[in-house]
Order: sequence, then structure tokens, then C-alpha cells
Amino acid sequence: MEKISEREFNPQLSVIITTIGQFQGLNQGLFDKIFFGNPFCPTGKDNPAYNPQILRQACSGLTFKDKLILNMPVCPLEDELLGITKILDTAREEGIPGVSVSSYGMAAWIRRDYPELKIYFDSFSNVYSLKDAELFRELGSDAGLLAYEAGLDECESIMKESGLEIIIPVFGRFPIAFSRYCFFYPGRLPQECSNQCNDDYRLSFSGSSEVLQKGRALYSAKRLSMFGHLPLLLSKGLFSFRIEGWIMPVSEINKTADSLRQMLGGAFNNHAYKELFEISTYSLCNGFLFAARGEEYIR
Amino acid sequence: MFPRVKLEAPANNLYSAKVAIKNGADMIYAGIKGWSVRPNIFEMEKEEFEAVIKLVKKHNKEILLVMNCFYGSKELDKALKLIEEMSGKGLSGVIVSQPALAREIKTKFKGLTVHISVQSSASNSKELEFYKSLGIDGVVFARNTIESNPENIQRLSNYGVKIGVFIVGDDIANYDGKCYLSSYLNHKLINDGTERYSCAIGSANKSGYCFLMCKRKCRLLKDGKIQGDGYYLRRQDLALFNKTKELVSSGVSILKIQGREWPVPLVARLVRYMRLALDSLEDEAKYQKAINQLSKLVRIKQQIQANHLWLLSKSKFRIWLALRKHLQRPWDNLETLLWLYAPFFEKMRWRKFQKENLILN
Repeated sequence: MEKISEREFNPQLSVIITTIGQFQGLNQGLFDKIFFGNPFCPTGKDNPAYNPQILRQACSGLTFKDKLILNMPVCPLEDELLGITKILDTAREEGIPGVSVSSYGMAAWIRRDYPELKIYFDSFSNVYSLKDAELFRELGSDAGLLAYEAGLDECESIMKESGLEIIIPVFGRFPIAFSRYCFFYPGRLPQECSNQCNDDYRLSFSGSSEVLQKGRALYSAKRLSMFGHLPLLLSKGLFSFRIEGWIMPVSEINKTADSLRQMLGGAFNNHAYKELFEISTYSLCNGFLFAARGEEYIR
Repeated sequence: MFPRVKLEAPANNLYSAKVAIKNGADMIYAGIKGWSVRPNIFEMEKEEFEAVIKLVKKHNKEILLVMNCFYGSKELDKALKLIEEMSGKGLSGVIVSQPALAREIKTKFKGLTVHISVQSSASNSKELEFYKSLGIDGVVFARNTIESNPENIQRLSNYGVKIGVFIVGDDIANYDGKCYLSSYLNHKLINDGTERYSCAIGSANKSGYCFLMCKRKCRLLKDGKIQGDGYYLRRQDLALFNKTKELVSSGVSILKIQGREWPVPLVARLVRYMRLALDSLEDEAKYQKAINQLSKLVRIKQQIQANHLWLLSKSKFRIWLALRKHLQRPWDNLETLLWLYAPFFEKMRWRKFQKENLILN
């Protein structure tokens, strides 16, 4: 097995986007992998994770087809499996290289019935330990995200001991929970969806100032920004980073990716740093990596 | 003719295990301090757990050790050691969340039953196929998915893995085991004196010290303007006992009652009436009586929990837990008193809670 430390340093940059609108404006050349689709929202009309037509539309506009990773629905119900089969068939027909899953059962299924699709495990797969990661590797995966709560030491040791590519979220919206319920229209039909969750709704708990943003049946917390810690992450041997582009304007994603690319290319220049910090001027969170609360920014 | 199913009840100490067995539980599940998805106060010391094993075995029932946290690499070996130790004392089985740990247990301790916790949020046949391939005996289905489509259970029960469901319990807006809402705002690692590597206060997944943010009152703003105050993230509690007959006839093997953190008298009554419902599936009058009692109990449970949450919001969580730890038996008595008087206040308080929009839908 090839050890990560023996590889030539080749930083990887990926992004997660959820809608066809974001996809159309994305500068695809900046990314090594594009995670596409909202795994949490079964009713959104423009969601490729649940709609094969949207997936086909995206594939027709893709310059670099080998970069697309389709996000599979999280915790699908038994009734939804037929729809997911159609999505997977479409992915196979379109030659999409991989899918991102959030459970072992889905991974085992895709491994068995769609062996040509590469499997990535997502943060909601709850990979907390080396043994969890090894189980995913047995299921055919060689890259993915650990649970958000995993510390930096765990990320480092799991990456080194398992040989897996551990992807670290470095910028964007940080989804901290998701729900089967739509908070806007409980029990509604997909055709009734008015994408109301895309509006600027905010939720604060009484007696405290914490604010969470609601959107797409998940809570996207405050902005995540790990730019200040990039040198530390790189020194630990971590080399794969992801921009969490949930409900982010695509122009912002492109700008961030551009600056990040410069930094990862070895150009730790002041200009790139300055640009990144201008983008992330508020609400920094990355505490989980340092055994603190997620919203805390560790300096 | 309905098939025989097992009733699984919670225990947080020897006394509550006794009470659960006395009231008709077939299986008891309990955790050892530091190792399950509950704060330490609702778990037992090893010695007490051993006493529970003896008690349960004496009554020819089953005892499951709850090991349903998501453990880090350094903790897994310790977890296996603990299971080995308890296995030697006569443990019947283990409830786990991590498939990797489940596989290790199945390989090393062949006599132990392994159930997959609700924390894994299993919701379809693909998950069952996978767990079957690991040799898992039972899977407790995700709390917020199974209720909507019970007819699927019939198909799912043919996969060779026992299906368990929570028939009474809290329903949460977010998926079990896939929520960082509490730890995002409160996460902190401490050494709590248990054998585990560390205890993650605020984390539902790592240690069960969840601050139940989803049950708190919150304010909704749109474009900076206040839309209203309310319990926006709170859902109606689980009350699947209403569908006991359908569940049993469609192939569910384990009916589970939540409540290691609930007062013992409440859990005792839930077990008693659930037992009555299961034993009188053929007798409509008795069955309805039991279901009515259970409905009443769930209402009172919501009130007790609301009070508990009120206390949590008024005091520091850790102080509150410490107080409960030292006053456990008197507190049980106090709660029993509250329990006895609760029906007198029920209507009045229920109206108030409804007015406050405590329960959505």
C-alpha cells in the first residue's frame, strides 16, 4: 500500500455545490473534484441528487467530466431507493467517475451494483476512527471526509495509517445538521416547493447571540475559514481541501478557489493571503479540529 | 394470531432495572459510565452493571450493554476490553453505532448479540443488507423515518436481521447520529474520570452530552426582521404504540422504550402498559385501555421533560447534573410525587403548553 507521506506533494482542491445555477457559473478548471448535489433535500426541483434530468443537464455543460462527484441522498427511505437507482444509472450512463455517500449500506450497494463508480465517504458517514476508515476502504473508497468532530490529530493519523485521502473543509458554509422535515411546508409535495429556504432566514436561540442560517432542510452555520491554519494543515501532511459551497454565490467560490490555488501552489504571497482574509472577514469557525466547539476560532 | 415480539426497556441503575423487569420487560438496555450516548448521570458504575446482569439473568431475561458512542481510534480497544470483561460476567449483547466496532465484536465474541443503535439512522433495505453481511442480529431503525411508512417493514423484516423501533420516545428534528447542532455551540473535551480517553461535553455523538438545542425556544428572522419566537426545531414526540398491532403483524421484532433519562415511575408505567398492550393484542377492549393509558403517559412525559428543560435553561447544565447525581434516590422520590400530582394539573398545564406552541403540527 502506498503511504501518503511517500507521495509527491500534490495538493487537491475540491468544492461542493448544490444547484445547477451554481454549477453553470463555476470555474471548473480551478478544482480537482466537484461534489455536486444536495444530499439533504428530497423536494428541491433543481437538485441533481434526486433528479436525473438535472444531472444530465449538468453533464452536458461539463468541460471536465472526470471531476464530477455526485452527492447521494443521506438516509434515504425505502420508497426512495427506486429513484436513487435511476440517478445511479444516469451517473453510469453519463460516465461520472464517482459518488459521495453518507452510509456504509449505500457504499456496499454501489460497490456491488455499480463497481465502475468510485466511492467517497462524506462527513455524515461518521468516520471517527481508523477502523471506520478501513471499513470504507474495504468497500472500495479511497477518499472522503471524517466526521466534523474529529480532531486534527485523528485526521493526521487516519490519513497516514489508512492511506486514504482525507479531505478537509477549509472554507464556506458548514452544515451542522440536517432534517427530513421541511420547516417551511411540512409534508409538501416537490412541485409545491418554492425554494423559500434559499431566502435569508436566520435562527437564534433565546438568551444567546448564536445565529444559525437555515437553508435547504439543513442548518448551514456561520462561515468556515481555515486559511490561517493552512500552513499547519500542510505541515501535518494533509493535502486535500474542500470549499463548502452550500448556498454560496458562485462568484465568491471562484474567487476563493483562485486565491487558494495560488497558496497551495507554493505561492504564500501576501496578495493571496490578503484576498482570502478579505473574503472571510467575519464568523470564522474551525474549532472541532482543535477539540473545541465548532464555532470557535482558534488562533 | 400475532407473532411474539420483545419489549426492550431502559435502566439507569439497579433499581430501575428491577422495576422494568417487574413490569414486564423482556430485555434491558443500560450503559456503563462514559461509554454510551447519555450523560454519566444516567449510566452505571461497572459494579452496578454487573449486579444488573445477575438480576436480569436470574429472571431469564436479556441484558444489552449500550456502547453507542462514536469512538475515536484510541478508544476502540478500550471499548472492546470492556465488552470482553462484561461478556465474561454473562452479558447477553451489545448495542453499537459503529459498524467497524460491531464487526470486531462479532468476530471476537461469537456468543454476544449485536444490535445497531438508532444512532446509525438506518432507514432502508440497503443498510439491512450491509449489516446482515457483518452478521448483525438486530437494527433499530431511525426514529424519524419509519413512522411514515410502516408497510415497508414487512418487506424489510425478510432480510434476516431483526428490526427494532422506538415506540415511545423523543422525536427529534434532525437525524440521530448526524447532528452537530449542540457540539457546534458547546463542544468541550474534559476528563470525567471514566476509562474513556476523554468526555466530549456538548457532543451527542461522542458522549451523549447533548444540550438539546433543537428543543429550545428560538427566534426566527428573515432579512433581519423578527418573524416570531417559538419552538421551531421541535417535533411531536414519538407515539408509535398507537400502531402496535400493525408493527407486530408486519414483522417488527423489538419494541423499544426510550427513557434512561426519564423518571423511573414513568418508565415503569410505560413498560407496564406496553406489556398489557402486547399481551392483549387479541382482546380489543384491553388493548384500547392500554393504548389510552400510554397516550396519557406520553403527555405527562412531555410535561416532565418541559420542566426538566426549564430547569436546564435556568441553571448551568453541569451543576444540574451534579445535583441530580448526589440526590438521585431522593430525586426519584420527588419525581414520583410530581408524577402522582401531575394528573391534577394536567389539563391546565397542557393548555398552557399548547398555547406556547410547544408541540408543532
